[in-house]
Formats: sequence, structure tokens, C-alpha cells
Amino acid sequence: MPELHAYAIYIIFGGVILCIACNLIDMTLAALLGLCALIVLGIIVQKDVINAVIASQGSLSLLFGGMVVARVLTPTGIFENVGTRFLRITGGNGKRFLLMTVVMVSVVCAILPNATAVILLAPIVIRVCRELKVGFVGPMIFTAMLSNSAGLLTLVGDPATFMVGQAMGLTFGEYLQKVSLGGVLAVLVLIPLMPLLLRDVWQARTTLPADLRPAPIERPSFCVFSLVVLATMVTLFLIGESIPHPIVPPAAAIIGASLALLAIHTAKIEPIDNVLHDVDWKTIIFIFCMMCYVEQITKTGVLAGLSRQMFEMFSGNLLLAGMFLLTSIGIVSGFLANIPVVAAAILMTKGYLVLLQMVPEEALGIGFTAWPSESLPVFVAMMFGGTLGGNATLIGASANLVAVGICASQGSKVSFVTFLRYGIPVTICQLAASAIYVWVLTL
Amino acid sequence: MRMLLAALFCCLTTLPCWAGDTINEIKARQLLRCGVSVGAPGLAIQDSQGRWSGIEVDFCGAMAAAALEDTAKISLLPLPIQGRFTSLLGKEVDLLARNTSQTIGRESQLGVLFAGPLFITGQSFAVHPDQGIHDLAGLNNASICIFKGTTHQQNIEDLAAHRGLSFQPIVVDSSDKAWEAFATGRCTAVTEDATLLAAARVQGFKRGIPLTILPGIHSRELISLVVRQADPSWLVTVRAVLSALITAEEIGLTGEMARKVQGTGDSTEVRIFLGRTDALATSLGLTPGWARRVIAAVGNYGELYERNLGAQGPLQLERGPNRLVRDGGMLYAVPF
Repeated sequence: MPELHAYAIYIIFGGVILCIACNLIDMTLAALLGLCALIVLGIIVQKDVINAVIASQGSLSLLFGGMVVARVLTPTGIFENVGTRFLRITGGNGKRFLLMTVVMVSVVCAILPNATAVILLAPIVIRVCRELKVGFVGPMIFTAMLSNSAGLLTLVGDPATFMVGQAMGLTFGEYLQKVSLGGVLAVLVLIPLMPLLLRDVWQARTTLPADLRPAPIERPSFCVFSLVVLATMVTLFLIGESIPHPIVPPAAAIIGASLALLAIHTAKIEPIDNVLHDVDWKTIIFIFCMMCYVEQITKTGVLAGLSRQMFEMFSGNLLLAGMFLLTSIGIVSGFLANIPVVAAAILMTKGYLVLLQMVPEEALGIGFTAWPSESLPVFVAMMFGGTLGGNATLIGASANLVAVGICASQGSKVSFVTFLRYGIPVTICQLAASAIYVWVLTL
Repeated sequence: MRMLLAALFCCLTTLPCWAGDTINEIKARQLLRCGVSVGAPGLAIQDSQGRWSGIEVDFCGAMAAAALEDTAKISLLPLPIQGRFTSLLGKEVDLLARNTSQTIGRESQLGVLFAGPLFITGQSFAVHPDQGIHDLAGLNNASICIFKGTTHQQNIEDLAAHRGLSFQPIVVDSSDKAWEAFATGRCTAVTEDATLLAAARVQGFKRGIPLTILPGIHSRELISLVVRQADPSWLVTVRAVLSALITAEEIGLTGEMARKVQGTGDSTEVRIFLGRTDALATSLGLTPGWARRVIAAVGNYGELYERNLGAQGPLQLERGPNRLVRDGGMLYAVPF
């Protein structure tokens, strides 16, 4: 009997993507209408929605927290101040600006969640672009892509890397030793693409006024308090899970947002309503919808069956299996949120290794760490596919959506096709570089 | 636009929440997906016309009769031993009816739950009839083929220590490889669950490899139905169907009786049983009449066993521990 239910999910999701790609309808509305169709067909129930939110590992809280903190900091003029300082360091040179952006985003994203980092860095990038008299859409898209790639630099750089690292039983140090180099490669690959894809920015030269000075910080005491809130949030991101009563990053984001709102309310800078009004709810709702779709798609069990197909196709050829995972998970991750995709792919990868009898079936559970070293390239390939594949499309990663949402709020709408012009070449080059890295790991 | 988006978002977060995930998904897709054994007579096998038979197949049919009111609404996925848990955990199947021994280790390490034994068997040994081996002592110092990833590897070590025997275990990847090794004389005996050896004996006759199964069962294997830990309510539903099959045998309700017009000739015990199961229908995610449908579809547990594993089936196994407790066996139903 055909599984009409599964086909309905694929057709509706495909239809939503098509509507977004062809710009037929607002993307958030398209995503919501698709979910409504699934409700009417009795395919999605409340438990699925809850499961989707659980599977997202608190992404929505991270986004909300980042947006609120960034918005609270805005009236202090700190972004203009830092932006001007950054501009002075670039010396009005577009090439230097892009290269420094690579360094700045890589450092920030190695410790902060990608989308949160984009929210905090976006005002600086936009400020510099305006001074350089170049469009900010390209640099913003690159900032999002950089943030996705830089997440691979450390074990805690991205929820997906953390999940895979945990499944492999890697410590922070082991990750740096065995996997981080691949992340460095993925970031470096972007540099030679910049003169090609961001030609106008790369060639931009502006003579900065000799008296260019950072604008003074408005309301300095409020600014200090807001920065303390930001520092608290970042500190909790880094060490919150190791304190006696662990605070996970999404909870840290909510704590940060609450303290920031308290600060702006107490200082009577502006009503809290204004701050909440400026939160990019449209992007948050869209990401929520995408999580629901991923939950539905993984529920069809389509990924679980792939482990047997991989076993039939590649048998014990781990290099080919790794290349297959890199490509296939990369493609899937281009259209679906990477966290649930990676969660499903971890089971699939483990299932393949169990079928190969490299590990016992207990390896499918949590806490198994006795992975043979030969299995590392397979996991790494899957992780790189899941993380870097998200760069391909506008909807592939929450950082992309946030970047595009910020561009829209600044008056420059980014279409699905516009994003693809940057996303496709970048993703192809990054996956190719990752393939070389995976091949080296198998030697 | 904002209002429209907000309204749609609210609709999503106020969706109704029913029983368990799995039963709702099964109802939505109108199909129960079952993981079964790969071509094992008596357990799950497809004939040349594509018709399935076996105790695992029948139990899946019983679940479909309970949940979807139609035994045909099942999708059977033959799973290799190393692929069974990945399929279940990856939601490729709703229920693993495939030959799987229940262990605490699997429940604690894999995130699965066992709903109860579909049948009870134990480890046994098969040899070539011409070898003149008649009991376990005859296998001292013999090479024994064992399937990798089963509970038998540990069992055989325990058995050797307990009996003061010595075995030379040869661990092989799959059933096919074990029988290949056996046929070429690489191993003197093959050890497996008695049911699987009986299934192999049936198939061995067809392939020209005669087998003798040595007397004695050397372990207790509860071959159980498996579900994901994430949905305990589905576990209860599966357990309820299994208990209904056993209860039906206990009270003498047969398939033929259940297929008669409802209420005709039902004994008091049967009426009480069906009344209690109907009262629980909603909380189990099923519709009233589910227990009668199950028995009408596949018969009671005794019929199910005899048709597939017992005297009327291909394996011709005695019921042994699969008799009801009152008959000296180990099977009992959880009361409703």
C-alpha cells in the first residue's frame, strides 16, 4: 500500500519551497499555509509541534534573546561607534573590510551561536558598507555563510557540531586536534571567492575623512549595563552548562533578553513594547515552521532506510560512504534546518557502521564512545555536509534567514534566487574542500 | 499580513493533542509499518505469489486489526539483524516484530522498550545427521558457528564454563555465512534460537543440507516485540493486543467464535473480557470492538502459535514454555 501520508508531506513541502523560490508568495505565509494543509490532512498534531521545538535545541530562544539584546543596545549608539572604529581600521579599503570581517565573524562564531552572532555583527557590517558606498546585501549574506562555516571551528561552535562531537565521544581538545582544521579550510575557501562574488565591495576604495571619529556613546551608564547583560549572556553560553545548576544556551539567551528588557525599562529609554515590536517575528515564525516540516519529514523514516542503502551501495568503502554523506546531507541541509537533519543523520551513520559490524548495536544508543578511528571520516563528512549545506539556500540555516531579515528591515529585500547566486558557488567550493579533507582523514 | 501570520501561528500552537505519537501517525497514514525477519519460515516469509506468513506477520496483522480495523493495512519490512534497531529508532517502522531477544541491556542502552514475548525459545545446537553427535557432550572441543551481534556469544561461554566443556566459537556475520561455513565443514555445529534452527532445518531440506537439532534448550530467550522508548503509550497498546491474544486462549475465545455475529453465544467470561477491552479502547487509542477484531483476524494465541510455529506450521515445534501458565508454561496475560 503506498504511503500517501509520506507523499503528502513531500508534495506540500516541495510546494512551499517552490512558492518561495519563485517568489509567488511571502515565504512565512507560504510556510504557514503548508503547515495548515498538513493539519487539515491530519498529518500534524500538537505533539509534533512540541517535538519539533524540542528537536530544534532551543534555536528560537537563541534568536529571540539575540534580537532583544541587540535591539536594546541600539539606542546607545554602540553599533555606530564600533562600526566607525572598524571602518577606520579598514582604511576605507573594501578588500581589507572583507578580510577583517572573516576574522571577526570566525572568532565570534567559534563561541557564540551563529544566528546570534549575525544579529550582533550585522549593524557593524551595514554601517561600514554604507560608508564604503557599497550594497550590504552581499556582505551580509557572506557574514551568515561565514558564521555557519565558523561553527565548525570548535566543538561548541554550532549545535550540529556539538551533537556529532558528542555522538563520537570527542572532547573539546580532541575536536580541535582532529576536526577543526576542516573548519579552517571551510572558512578559508570563502576568501578566494570574495573578489568574484563581492567584486564591488572587494574593489571599493573610499577616502575616509581625516577627522572621522567614533560617535560618542549615548547614555553611557545604560550602555555599560547593557554590555554587562551581553557579557553575562555570552559567559553563560560558554560555562552555563558546567555550573552546579546547568543553564543551557537557549536559557542563557532568555535570561539575557529579560535582563536587557529590565535595563531599558528601568532606564526609561523607551517602552518595552517598542523593543518587542522590532523583534523579527516573521523570521522566527518561518524558522519554527521549517522545524515542523523537518519533524514531519524525519517521521517518515526516509533517512533511517538510507543506512541500509549505503551498506548495499558502498559496503565497507568508508571513503565512498563519506562522500555520499557529505553530498546527500549537504543537499538535504540546503532545504531543511540542519539540527534535526544532523540528528537523523547521526543515527543513519551509526546504523551504517553497525551494519558494517565495525561497532556493536549498543553503539546506536547514547554514551557509546568506543568508535574505531576509521569511523571518524564518515562522521566528519556527515557533519560538514549538514553544516555547510545550509549555505546553499536562503532557508538552509537560521543565520541566513536572520541576515536576510535584517537586510529587509534595512530596505533591501533578498529573494531566494539572489541568495542562490552566492549560496551555490560557495557551497560547491566548501563541500569540495571538505571532500579533500575527508579523503585525507581516510589515509 | 502581521494579523494573518499571527492567526495562523496561533492555530498551530493550539492543535489538539491525542493519545500517543505512534498510534496517531499510524491512523494518519492508514498503515502500520512492521519490521520482520528476513525469510524465516514460521516467523516471516513471503511465498512465490508474494503472500506473507509467519507469527510476526500475524501479530502485525493483529495490530492493524486493532488500530486500523483492517489486517491488510500493514507494510512489512524484512530487516537484517544489524539493521533492526536503526530502523525502529529512525522511525522507519512503528513496531519491531522481528526475532529479537529481550534484555535489560538493550532497553537501557538503546532507547527501546520490549512489549512482552511473542514467544519464548532458547539457544540450541544443530549438527549434520551423519556426524553421530547426539548431545551437547558430543560437541566438546568442536567448532561452533555463532552469529555476531546476538546474545548467543555470551551464552555459549557461560554454557561451556557451567558444563566443563570447551567450544571453539567461530563468529560469522550473517545466517547465510553460518550455513555456508557449516556446509563446507568449517564449523561442526551452528548455535541459534531453537525456532531459527527449526526454520533453517525447513530451508536446509530444500537446499539439500540436512540438519539435526540436538535436544535441550540452553538459554531462555524472550523473543519480544520492540517499540521506541519515546512513546510509552504505544508500548501499552502493543502490550494490550498481546494480552488480548493470550486472554482469549485462557477463556476459550477462538477466531471462529470471534468471527460470528457479535454477542451470539458469547460466554460470560468472553462478554466480560470484551466489555473491559472496549472500556479501555479510547485510552489505548483504539476503537471499541478492537479485541474481537484482533481475535477474529488471527485467532487466539494458541491458534497463532500452532499455525506458525506448532503442529500445523512448517516448524512443528512443541509449545513448551509457550503454554499458558495454567498448563505448565510461562505465558500469562496482563489483566485488563
